[in-house]
Amino acid sequence: MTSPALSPASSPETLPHTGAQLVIESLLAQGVDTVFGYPGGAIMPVYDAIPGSGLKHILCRHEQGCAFAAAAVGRMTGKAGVCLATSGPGATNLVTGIADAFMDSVPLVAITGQVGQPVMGTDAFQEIDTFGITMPIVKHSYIVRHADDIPAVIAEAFQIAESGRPGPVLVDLPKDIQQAVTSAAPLEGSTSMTPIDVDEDALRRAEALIQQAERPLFYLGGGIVRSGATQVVRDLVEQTGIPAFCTLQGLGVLPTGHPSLLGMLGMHGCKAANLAVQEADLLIVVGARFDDRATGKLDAFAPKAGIVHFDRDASEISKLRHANVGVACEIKPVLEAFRPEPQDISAWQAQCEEWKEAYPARYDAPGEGIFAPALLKELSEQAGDSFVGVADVGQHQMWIAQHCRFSRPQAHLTSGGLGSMGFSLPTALGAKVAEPDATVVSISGDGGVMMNIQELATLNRYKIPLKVMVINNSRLGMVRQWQELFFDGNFSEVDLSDNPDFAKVAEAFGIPAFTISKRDEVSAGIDRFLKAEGPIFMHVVIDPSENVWPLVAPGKSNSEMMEADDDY
Amino acid sequence: MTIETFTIECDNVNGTLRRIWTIIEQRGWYVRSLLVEEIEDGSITRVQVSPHGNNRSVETLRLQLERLINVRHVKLERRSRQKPSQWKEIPHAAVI
Repeated sequence: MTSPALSPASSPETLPHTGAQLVIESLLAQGVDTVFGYPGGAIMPVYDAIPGSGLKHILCRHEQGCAFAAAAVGRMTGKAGVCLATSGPGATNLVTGIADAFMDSVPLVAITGQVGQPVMGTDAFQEIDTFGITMPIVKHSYIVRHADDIPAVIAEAFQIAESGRPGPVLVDLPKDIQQAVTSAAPLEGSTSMTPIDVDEDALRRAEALIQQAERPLFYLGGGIVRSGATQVVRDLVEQTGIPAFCTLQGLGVLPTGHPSLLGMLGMHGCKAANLAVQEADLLIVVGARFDDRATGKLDAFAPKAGIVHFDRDASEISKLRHANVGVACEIKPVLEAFRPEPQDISAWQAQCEEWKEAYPARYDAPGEGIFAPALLKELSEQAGDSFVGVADVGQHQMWIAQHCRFSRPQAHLTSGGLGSMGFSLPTALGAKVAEPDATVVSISGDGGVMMNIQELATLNRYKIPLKVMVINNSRLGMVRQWQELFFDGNFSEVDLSDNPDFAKVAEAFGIPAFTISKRDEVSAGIDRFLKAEGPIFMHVVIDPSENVWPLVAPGKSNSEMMEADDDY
Repeated sequence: MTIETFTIECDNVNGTLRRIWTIIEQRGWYVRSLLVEEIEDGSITRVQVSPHGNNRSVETLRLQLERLINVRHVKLERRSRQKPSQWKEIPHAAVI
């Protein structure tokens, strides 16, 4: 299992030691300094090994929070975060966070306790088939059967999680393995993975297609971020002058306001981006996967365009849309060597610019109430380049994507693939731990915040200076919007008007909090929010009937966008 | 009914066969028959699959199987047969 890239760490003084101690030493040897976890019966030997080990442990208040927080480390740094949980319910509570990491290709190492091998398969207390339950949502997984395997398994887990198309790796540790005595030493470094061969001929054909194209567009996705290729892509866009649009996960690859950026495409995308994609004759797809929320009706998506597709995962190429040229590759080095020379596309550039000017975002909602898009725009602009907005899921998530200013891709963390409510608070917590100098803001709706509100206790316990904003429309807003538009206004189980007073709830957790509900309170509220030195909670009351515009109805083409009435 | 046949060479590691089965089912196909042969340093699996619906790319499934960590190589043996082979068919609900 080991390779020459691995080397034993300096021999610990404690040899021989237990499997549990070896787990901790192996994590430290991989450069891990913080783990997010929750103890329980089958992982107790590992917890016994934590005090005095030098490994910092953050006790979240629910295992789902541990998984989201650990994945946030991966989202921010590209290095796998680590979560720890016990067997049975501890492991099943991790599942949503692991699935979220899988869907968004985020590196994560999840370590779960398991009942001892002698009782595995007997329906022992808190025994569940964690390996089987998580199989469809991990990049890889292990049940460790020998304590001597721990160093190689942990090293390999990190390598797999972080390399290629990143993803979560599960390590299931039976209790007897944790308690076993071993002389194995932790391994530093990582196992080596075979690099992917680049098809040079495909690159030349891609360059030829770009040279022939009259209306080319870059289609930029989250794979760029996971590959650490943001700057390379920025250089390529600027060198070619080809207009570009982003997916939800690709926001920030080009900074907001970049002259070549048309905005986000898709269901709640910018009209300019959605119009341009329908007219393009070539899409240069980089690290994107033709997600249905991005493409709308697939048969009608970019009907005039050929496809050049760069992706680390060969199985994404031609999965949903045939690629005229597909390049399975490590995106960063390949794009560094990729030098397309488009023909004169000034007419196309002018057309794209015209669309951008014709369809700007609107902030002219009538009334006295707070208009969330305007608030979010002001928040991100006041926070500046250090802003990291962590969305939950729902209407506010789309408003953040549409209206916030992002200086880099890590400035926008969102549950894009899984769309998991409850994502924001623990993810923001993990992001703040990973990057303490960033202005990290958790932004949730009143539905989502209730799904992991217990993590306010974690903020208070560790005094993590996180900013928590709840945009409260007393509804499950996105579901309400769809019921209004597509279910004849039959509002079914979306009323949350019996929500608690969120500011009082936050204060009960020891977090200073305040509420605003009028438009003229926004600027002062944001100012107070951003200037707070410790954790702070801002409760924003908005109009329950507000909708997210524009909108491509499900099953429709991106060219058929529904828009707000003139009077909103 | 379209039937595709893969030959999959993989490491003989705990869970690999289950992982292969999971991917096939997860990606919109079902396993019609399965034959596993142990070789010196791993195993070779021959599996016949059929799609749920008609819009599934067998090449995409091949690549999705090939990206599994302990899978070394996946070969599409023959395309679009109309009848299953004479291998013993494993009931759909069977667990490996």
